[in-house]
Amino acid sequence: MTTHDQLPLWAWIAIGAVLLGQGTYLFVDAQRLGRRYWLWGLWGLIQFPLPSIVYLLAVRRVYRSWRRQH
Amino acid sequence: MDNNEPQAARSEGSEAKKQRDPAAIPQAAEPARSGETPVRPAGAAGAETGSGVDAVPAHMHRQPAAKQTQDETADERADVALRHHLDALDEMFPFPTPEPGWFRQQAAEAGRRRKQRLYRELVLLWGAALLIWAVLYVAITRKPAAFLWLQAAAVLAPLIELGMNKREVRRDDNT
Repeated sequence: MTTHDQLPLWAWIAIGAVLLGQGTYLFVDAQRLGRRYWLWGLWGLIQFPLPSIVYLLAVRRVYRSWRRQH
Repeated sequence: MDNNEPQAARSEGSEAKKQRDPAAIPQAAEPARSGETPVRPAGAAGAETGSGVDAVPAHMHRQPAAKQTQDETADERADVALRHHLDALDEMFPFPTPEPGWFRQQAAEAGRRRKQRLYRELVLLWGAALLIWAVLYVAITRKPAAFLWLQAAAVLAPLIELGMNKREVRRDDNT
């Protein structure tokens, strides 16, 4: 028995929901900012949470506001 | 006409300048003595006919042509003629200024079109999601090694792409 066989249905649904939510958020936000939204949307559908982390650092540049606060 | 106001202001300004300038006063009195006729620009006829092109500055009637350089006179004539023809063009082809409501309507229309496009692309994205997940599920069930390779590629490919894009942007900024 492999690992994916042991996953219950609700886990599969949760994984799908997380990936779909992440991909949709990255797609919509990147489109609003005029950044390669298809790249971010598709990447967000495949993995979690690396696309979100890279997006926040590379596009949103959240470290700038963090630097300003500290 | 709208152009009369700036022209009147200009002639008032030149009158005021003359009053301040003492050298201008004897010059203005000369034509009466010498009998010279003042040079009237081409558009001056409009003032008499009441056509609204009464744009001839007042000092041109009193000041002798000899005291003005030919260039200045030609410039003023050209100015009057230009304004006259521009006014005529405005009357021939009236261009209505749109109402503010029209701009609001245009903005709302653009927003509606943008939203529609976003929904269409989101449906496409979700369709692509189904396809990608099917491929990944097949990979994870049949060939786990292929799934791992796909995940590694999914990490590296976007990072490489982003790095290349950043380098291009930097090169564009430098040039």
